[in-house]
Amino acid sequence: MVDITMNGEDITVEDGKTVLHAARDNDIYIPTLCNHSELSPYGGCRLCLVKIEGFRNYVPACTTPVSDGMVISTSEEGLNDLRKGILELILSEHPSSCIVCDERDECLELHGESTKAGRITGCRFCPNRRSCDLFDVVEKIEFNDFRIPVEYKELPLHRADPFVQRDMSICILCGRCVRVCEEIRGVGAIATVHRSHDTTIGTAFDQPLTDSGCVFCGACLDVCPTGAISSKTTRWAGVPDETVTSNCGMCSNGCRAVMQFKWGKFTNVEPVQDGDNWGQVCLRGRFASVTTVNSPMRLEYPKVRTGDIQQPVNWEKALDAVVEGLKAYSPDEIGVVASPFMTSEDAFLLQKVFRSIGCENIATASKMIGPLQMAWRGQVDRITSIGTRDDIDDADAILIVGSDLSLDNPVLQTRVHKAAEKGARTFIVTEHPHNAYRGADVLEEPCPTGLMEDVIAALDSAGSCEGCSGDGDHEGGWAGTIAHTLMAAERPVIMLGQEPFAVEEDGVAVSSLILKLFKAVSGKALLILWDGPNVQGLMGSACVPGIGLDGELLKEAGPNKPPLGDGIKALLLTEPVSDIPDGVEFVAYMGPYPFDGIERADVILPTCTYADSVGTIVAMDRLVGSIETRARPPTMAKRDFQVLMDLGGRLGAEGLSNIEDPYDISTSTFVDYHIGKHIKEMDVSADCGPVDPSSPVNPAGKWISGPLRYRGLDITEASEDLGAVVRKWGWTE
Amino acid sequence: MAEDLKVQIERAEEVWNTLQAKGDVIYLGTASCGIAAGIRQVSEAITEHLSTGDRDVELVEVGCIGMCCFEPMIYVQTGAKAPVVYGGLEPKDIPKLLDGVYGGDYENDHLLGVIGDGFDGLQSIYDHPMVAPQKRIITENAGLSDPVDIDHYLARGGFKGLERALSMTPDEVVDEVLRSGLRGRGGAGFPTGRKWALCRAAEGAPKYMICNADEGDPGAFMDRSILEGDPYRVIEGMIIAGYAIGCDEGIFYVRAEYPLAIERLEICMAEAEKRGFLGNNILGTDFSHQLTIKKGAGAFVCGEETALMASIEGKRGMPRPRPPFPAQKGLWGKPTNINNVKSVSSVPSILRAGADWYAAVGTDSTTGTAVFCITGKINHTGLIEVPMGITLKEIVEDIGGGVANGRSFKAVQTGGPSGGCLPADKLDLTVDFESLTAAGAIMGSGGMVVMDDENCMVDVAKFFISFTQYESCGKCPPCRIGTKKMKDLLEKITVGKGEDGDLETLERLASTVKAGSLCALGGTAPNPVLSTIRYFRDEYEAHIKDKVCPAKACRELIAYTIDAEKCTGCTLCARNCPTSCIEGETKEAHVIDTDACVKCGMCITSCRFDAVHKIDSPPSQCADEGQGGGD
Amino acid sequence: MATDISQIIEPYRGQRKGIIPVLQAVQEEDGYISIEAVKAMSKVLGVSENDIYGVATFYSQFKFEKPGDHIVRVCLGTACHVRGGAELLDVIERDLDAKAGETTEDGKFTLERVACMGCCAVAPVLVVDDEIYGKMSPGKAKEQIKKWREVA
Repeated sequence: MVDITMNGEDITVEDGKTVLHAARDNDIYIPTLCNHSELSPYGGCRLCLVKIEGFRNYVPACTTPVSDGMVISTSEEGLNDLRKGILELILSEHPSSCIVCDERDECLELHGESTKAGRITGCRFCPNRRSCDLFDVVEKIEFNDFRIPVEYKELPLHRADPFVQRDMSICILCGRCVRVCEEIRGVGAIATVHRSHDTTIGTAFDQPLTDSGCVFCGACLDVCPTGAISSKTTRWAGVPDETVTSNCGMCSNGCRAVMQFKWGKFTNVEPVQDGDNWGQVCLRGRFASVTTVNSPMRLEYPKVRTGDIQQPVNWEKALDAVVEGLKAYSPDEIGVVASPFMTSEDAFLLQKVFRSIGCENIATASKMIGPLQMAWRGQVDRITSIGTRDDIDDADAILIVGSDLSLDNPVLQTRVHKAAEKGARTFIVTEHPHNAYRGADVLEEPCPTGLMEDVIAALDSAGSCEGCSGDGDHEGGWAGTIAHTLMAAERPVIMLGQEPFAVEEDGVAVSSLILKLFKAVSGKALLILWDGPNVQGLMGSACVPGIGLDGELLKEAGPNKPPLGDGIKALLLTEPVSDIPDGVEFVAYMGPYPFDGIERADVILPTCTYADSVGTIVAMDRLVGSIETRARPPTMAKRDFQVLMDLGGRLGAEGLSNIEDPYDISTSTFVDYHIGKHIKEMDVSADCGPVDPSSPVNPAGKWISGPLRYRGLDITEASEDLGAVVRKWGWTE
Repeated sequence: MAEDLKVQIERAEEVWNTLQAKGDVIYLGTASCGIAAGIRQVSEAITEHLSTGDRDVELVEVGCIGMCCFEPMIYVQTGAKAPVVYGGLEPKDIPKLLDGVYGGDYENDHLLGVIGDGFDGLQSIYDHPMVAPQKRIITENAGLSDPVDIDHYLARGGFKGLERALSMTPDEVVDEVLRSGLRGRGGAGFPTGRKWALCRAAEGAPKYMICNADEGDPGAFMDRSILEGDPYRVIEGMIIAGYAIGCDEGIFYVRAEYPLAIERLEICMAEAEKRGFLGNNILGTDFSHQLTIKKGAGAFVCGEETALMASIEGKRGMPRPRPPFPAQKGLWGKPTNINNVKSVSSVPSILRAGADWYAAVGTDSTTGTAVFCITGKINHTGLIEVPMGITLKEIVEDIGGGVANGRSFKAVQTGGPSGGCLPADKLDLTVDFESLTAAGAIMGSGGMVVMDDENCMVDVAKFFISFTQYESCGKCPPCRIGTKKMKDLLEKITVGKGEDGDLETLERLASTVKAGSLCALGGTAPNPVLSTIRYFRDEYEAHIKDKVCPAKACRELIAYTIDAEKCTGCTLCARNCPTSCIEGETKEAHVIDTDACVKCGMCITSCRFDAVHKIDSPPSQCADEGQGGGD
Repeated sequence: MATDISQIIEPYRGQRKGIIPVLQAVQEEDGYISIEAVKAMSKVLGVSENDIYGVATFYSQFKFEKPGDHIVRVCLGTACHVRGGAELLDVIERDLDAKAGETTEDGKFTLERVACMGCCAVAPVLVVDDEIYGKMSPGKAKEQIKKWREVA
């Protein structure tokens, strides 16, 4: 600790902190523009200059470390005038008459949002008007005086990129966007280019963002103090009338973010720092989500089929039709498909309703669970990831098999980057790299089984490699290198993605090899990148054959027939399947989107997405998150929870009377299940005893899961921009 | 295993003395300005002429002796006599000159002096007015020896400084440099010994020593000359510095525009290593040192220490705020010491002859010598080395030979774009860090440009701010935007659109830029503007109020006209005019169409009758209407 | 793009300090920096291509378009300016019919301004490719251009 004096006050500060830190910790205001608490200090805007005794010139507070005995003054006449002079220079190139106008506040409040202009010529047209850092600084230092010629830059607008628009004329070159993209995301899609007055932020040769490596996460947009980078999808969404902090329900990462709503409609996503994703989100959760949730493709009306026509009806009639339809069959002729996009509560309710009428043919639309069960049974006591995403930060070696993260779990790349900056070597084994992490060794393998076998084989010699630091290349090519690196590492992390599970045997083989590898290298974390946001939660909701409540592997009793197998004549689907067996006579579909083959449905029940639902989900590292919303389902759609409660009532399901909202379920049913905490991880040293090989597993195949699917919908259809981006990256379904 | 230094010196002296005593040698001044002036063509003429005879003459390329106005230069050594210098040569002058000299007659229009004591009525070059007041320490070898011949360097005292340094402890070496009073010759004037001590004391390894040879000041070529003319000296200085600081890697950061300097450094570094002055166990001690060269890529700002280091690290050359200082956290976060070429080049002499000897030269506050490039409107342009404390007057009038072409002195600019312009009544100032700074200029790196009455000081200010604006890295608003606003204002003023209050705005902007900029580029960019406003305010006011350029240099404010009385109608001007705007019959007075005239000056230089003149021509009022600037 | 760029880049694999030397070598080889070169550099050096472009555009030395057969540089340092550098540039621009930074229509000459060649004592200075011409005047420049046109 060191003792300093700031503005006459004696303060004690931790050694190594900057003067700016010290000021902020003590509620002393120093204006900044280029500084950001999550990013390295830049020292570029010069607004944070302070006077320190012993230094001839003013020094920037954001880069100067404190030292014992320092005497600092953050405000004095010459310094304040200088700050105003510098701000005047910045504003002389930024449309700023609004900023100093007396009528500003009323104007912003009272003028509607319908002003649309491509180029920002004043605060009224600026998407950032409610969170503009320039405003703040102007007010705090009481600037209001222009005495130098004003000249706006009039640089060309960048409007052709998906998702984001860039107006570099109002950029103040704080450099935050460049820093967040490089330091936090590890991408570097934009950089400071050119020099002197021509300096601007751009891409190599001004190429489009889709070519420059951009992952369209919007981090740059979040840190931009002005409106230079803005979101195309939500620019004109208007002032939200409600906001709520929620977990995102697009993928198994379960990022935390602020959801914004207007008139009951989901309008925008903004970052929030209190979450395990550091305020980072991704192109799906941030941008595509809004277009997807509000897509005109949403199912709006309950429908009942008569002949070839699916007729819109009211909910009474629709639910009656379901009950009627199901009554015609015995419980073991009924199959239920639970969607891994449902909340744990909705899923629990689903299986409770059907088990109450004696039906046990319930499975989850995930390609990954079944093969994992088959590969790991007898060796583990439950199917979960081991470790959490925090283990990635400290990893000294990372192996990712079956994904390159860019489409399915983009936010994890920020963790991988953090580890890489500390020296961790990362290997990505993927079918096809789309936009893989720049700092990784990327191996393109249509099927990783062969490579994984070679890695295991190379482990024997890896143990004897003396003084191996895990860098460089080893004998045995990549297999040898991977084996050596993981063996030499003290905290290796392995991630398993969904690609190998497209074919069941591959999924089983790879799963088996991964577990073997994990044990052999004493891995710190084994993270399963599930093909749905709440696969883990559904296991706990008894929607997965062979796995009961609390994730226990049921050794007896459990659903005994796959819902799409022989003998099934009636189906309740909450997620589309690629191919409904001919023998099925009655189909009820419950979901937010249509699918190819929905004409076969006898009853359609329009329900909700995560953005208009409430409940909990469990992320891939077992973290329990909560979904909150202020959106109303569109037109006549209802929440799954409500529909199931209704249906349950009509079917005479028991035990529903003391359930009023989803949280009643999670608080009373799930063991050790708390929002913000992790559920129990699997034990790979557990002696599970011999497990009956015929014990049930979740069926594989037929499910339409994939990194760009939401409840069966190909979200590139709902979001054109998303389609443009991923096709550029070489994605084909 | 390299040979013992004593043995090497003995052999080198032999080589050198042999050369001195050789019958026939011609030394050719082959530095970049010599080449630009045409030494290669002169050399060809020499070879050709010699082939007609049967003299066996050795041709030796030497560096720049500093008398650049007299390039191309050769020194002819014949008989047992010292070499005699001839300058301003063209290929056609060679036969007569050589025949004369070899015939015993040294007299020639191109004769400049003897390298050494005069003989046979010929004066020594050291008595030439351009040379006499100089004190040549850093430049003691420049132009007198083959820059890449290590034996020449050894024979003339080379590596003796290193020898002595290695016999002392590193702390003692630092102390020696401190006591010498040497101050940073890049322009900042920070005591070099203290800089070394700070880096030596800093924690961290490895440490780095960097020689800043990015010399970006337009109008300056001191560092280039030294690197081309005496590369071993700089190398020796770097090794001594490395030893003192405690580092095993030294880096030359040389701007890419100096290919000859880079080439010579590479040759000399290789040779030095062969002879045991670089590499492992230098001169049989435990000390090992390596030198590498990093090339600049065209950015003036990379002369700033933190920008230079960023460039080496492969980044944009954008300066970083200080603290932390390079001595604590420099290249790749390690303690780094950066010195200018001239500072490094002073070190071998200081170690060889001692701190006291060095401190006795110059003044109390500023010891040693200063190397200047004197250029501009004087008779003797070139590279000079003078003791600190000499007056500007001596430099301009004695060494510089006074203003050329019969024009009158207006100002002398020192310190490049960071410096200032000093008027005639400041010529009595002595050259030292403090007195120049107090007057509004700075010592700078050594560029000194003389201006005459035909130079407009507002134009000069505009030139400098345009330069710094172009070279601004763009990181901080005061420099990036402030210098642009200042440049725009100056442009406005020089085209006759200046308004009341512009000077006050300029001064206010200058103050923000100076105090707010992140680095010295922005911090000193307003200096030329401020110093010209200080000393030549009336010129500014003439431009703003009267729309007149007193020096008749600002093209929008003048017109070219032909004096009908003097014009003989020779048509030379009309034929050379690039826009063909001069009309007139042969033998009749010609007329310039001022609307088409672009004021390139070709007609003035073509006319042999002094008939073409510039006159004041303020832009017409109506041209100003509708030309609002700003809001 | 140069075919042996890999040889130039390889020693700097994974190190950003190789950016400037590699760019210089590429420019030496091709005369300019292409997008292909930058992308290739990015893969080997492990630095984003946009970052590399940001570095390249910072330094005046690097060009991004194929230059003319010959590069004409007019020095605009202080000494050259004071001795008529601006007028010299003006005359050359007219004669070549190209502004500083442009290439003549026939692709023979690219005209550039340069801050200082360091030959101030022989100002004004003109450089064509590697040849330095001192003590230039508008008249001499015109003559010289005529000569180059004949040879080029």
